[in-house]
Amino acid sequence: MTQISKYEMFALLALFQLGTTLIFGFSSDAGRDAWIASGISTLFGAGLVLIYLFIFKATGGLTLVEWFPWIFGKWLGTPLAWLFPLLFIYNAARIISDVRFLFPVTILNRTPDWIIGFTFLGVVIYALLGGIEVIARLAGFFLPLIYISIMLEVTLLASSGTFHFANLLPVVGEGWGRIWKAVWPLGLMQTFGESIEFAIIWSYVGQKKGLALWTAGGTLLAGFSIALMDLLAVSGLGEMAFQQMMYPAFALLKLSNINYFDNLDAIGIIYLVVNAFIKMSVHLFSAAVCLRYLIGGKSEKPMVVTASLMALFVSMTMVISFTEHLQVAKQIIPYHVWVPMFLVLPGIVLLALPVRKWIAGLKT
Amino acid sequence: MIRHFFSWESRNLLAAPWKFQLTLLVGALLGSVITWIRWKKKSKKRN
Amino acid sequence: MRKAAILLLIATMSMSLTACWSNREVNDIAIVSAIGIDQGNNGNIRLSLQLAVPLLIGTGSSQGGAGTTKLADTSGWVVSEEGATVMETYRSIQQKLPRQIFFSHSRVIIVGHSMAESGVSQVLDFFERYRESQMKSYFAVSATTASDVLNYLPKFERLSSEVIFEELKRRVLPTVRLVDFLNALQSEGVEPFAPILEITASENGESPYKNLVISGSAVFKEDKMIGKLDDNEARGLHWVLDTVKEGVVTIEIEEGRRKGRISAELEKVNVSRKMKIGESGKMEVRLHADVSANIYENTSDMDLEISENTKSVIDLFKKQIENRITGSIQKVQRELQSDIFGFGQSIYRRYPLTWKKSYREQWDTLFSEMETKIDVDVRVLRNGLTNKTIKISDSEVEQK
Repeated sequence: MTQISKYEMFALLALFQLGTTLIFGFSSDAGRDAWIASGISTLFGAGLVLIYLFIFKATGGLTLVEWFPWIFGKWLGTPLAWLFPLLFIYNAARIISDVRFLFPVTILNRTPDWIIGFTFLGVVIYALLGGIEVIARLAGFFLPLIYISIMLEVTLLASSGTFHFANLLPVVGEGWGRIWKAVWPLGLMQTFGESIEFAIIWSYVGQKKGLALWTAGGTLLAGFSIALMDLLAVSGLGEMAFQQMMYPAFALLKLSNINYFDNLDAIGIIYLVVNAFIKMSVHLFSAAVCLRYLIGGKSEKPMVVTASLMALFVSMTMVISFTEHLQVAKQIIPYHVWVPMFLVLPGIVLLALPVRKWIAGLKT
Repeated sequence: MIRHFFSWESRNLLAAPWKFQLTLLVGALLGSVITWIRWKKKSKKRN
Repeated sequence: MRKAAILLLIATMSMSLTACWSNREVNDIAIVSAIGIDQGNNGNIRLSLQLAVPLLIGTGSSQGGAGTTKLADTSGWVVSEEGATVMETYRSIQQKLPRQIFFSHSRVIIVGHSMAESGVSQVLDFFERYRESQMKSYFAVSATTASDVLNYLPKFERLSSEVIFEELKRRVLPTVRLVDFLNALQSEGVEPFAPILEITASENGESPYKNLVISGSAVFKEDKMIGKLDDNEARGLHWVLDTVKEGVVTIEIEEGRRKGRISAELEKVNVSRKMKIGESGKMEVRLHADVSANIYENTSDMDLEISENTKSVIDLFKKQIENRITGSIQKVQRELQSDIFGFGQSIYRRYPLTWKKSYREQWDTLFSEMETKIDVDVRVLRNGLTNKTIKISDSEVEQK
């Protein structure tokens, strides 16, 4: 049985939740109050992730796919369980598309996007074939790296006088309406809802004592880092530019102006590569574990390859324009897919738990 | 390849999100058939 | 099977590890150091790019061979072209160049006077969108045309863009970066402004030598330039915006036996603003300037050791600064009627609800009715190396 340590799970969770949102300007619809929206999303998100963890513990350590056959039986439970690996593959495909679009506009501007997607995925598959411990150990190593970069960025930008905190005023000037709109459902579902995949990762953690603390800690760390980045981006760019720029984090990095530290884009690339790598790995690994369970195979390796190739295929066929790609993430997926699957289904499971126990009690 | 053939294309998702939901459901049902067959074989072996 | 796999691995790795699919070496690119945009014919725009010629940046003019000496006065080369959009024009300049145009090092964007008057938003979009553009580059309006400014041959530096950049960075008069300009353009309760660049004679009267200076501020209403502030008024704007870093204030001394002037160098300036909404809904802005200054020149015979004298000098400084600020505010409020100070934004930040309810819609007219109150605190920190002034020896004559 492979095992990962709690710190590695913590790092994996934090990086997974930071995800590509660090680049895209999380909840930028809330304008200058984006940081409030992120903070609120984080608090609710932590609650949501803890609910997942509660279900995981209450079922006696069953993984996400096993919940449904266990609660609803073979005939209803299996199709429900099947939904998840398919969605994870779709989510992984979205990350591949993000990468395919982000790299050409930032650094590799004339490399064909399929080459980028292909090589990136190649690295992910290679790491995944090593198993989850490899990914987890990498995450444990990357987490400090990311935070050192964030600190470096903040110091460099602050000392070049980029931040004007007056840009954040008035706080909640446009009312709570647009903040709530950013929190629900996108803010909550993106990253925090997706953390349902950790209902699979948790089963690999060796020491399960204190898992809730580490999980909540990772979520809060990631969430508040996102809020901080929003805060800095608004104070550096101003509300209008923050909302207009597709990648506020990159725009912010480009503002630094100390004599020789001119363009800090490289830091942005580090965020992007590391977070996309972790996020894609977790998506594909979860999908592979689900598939392995559902198909009844012995090893995850063929499943990893299958899931990856499916994700690549979906990614190559999914996007025509990037604007639409983002629009889908903002308007369609949260309502039509993520809310039912990350909120409604686990909610039903949560409610069905006592019923299941009661029935089991009757039988004995 | 025909444009807008796959339900997960962003334009299709914007126009008709139910197509994507349907695809997920159909995929899940097809997958379940595999699962049921495999599990049956397994339990037969065990018996 | 295993061998085939290894072969495949070697093949793919050697393909991907060479890296740099889209590599560009320095000798393949034309580095743009400044961008100028003017109005062209038939509604077209005229884009001028100042390209740094790397060969000439390092060489001293004495070393230059026969071919380069002529060019070596400047290491820049201005290329321009007309077209319908910035993108299109940039492509057609590209067609004429052997190297690829590279925008990442551009530090200034200059817009010609007539272009500024007809509206700048449609030409600025490209620079916000394009991946190589810099939001932090400075934005300025030329008093004539942008290409005049780009073609200016500087004395100190090799490239006029370098001169412009350094002058704008020193902030003697208010300057803006592209990101600030765009924010002011799109935010409510504040209108954009930009420094004006002008080529003047470097000595008074006719001089063969020219100098490139910031000569005031262009005031915009939405994206159109509607007027300008001269040097003094722009200084007032500088004070209101609380961006003053250095400067000199001079006062006239009327009393005493010898009339003269006292000049002080500003050491620290801090201007805070408070917005007040009166009972009748009348808005008032209170500016409080906190100034520390050092006196470095005194041509009168006022003895600064006497504390009463210091007091009256300070009072005169206060008056002077106050006048400077009010002059600027009045001109903007009465003549130009464009809120470049961002008073509206300050009200919005302080009273968001009242702003939305009663001011937002009619801010354009309300701005010019706004009342301003200015009070200034001046502290003189040092009097320079001497306290006494130079005394002309007529008193000695009397003693004899």
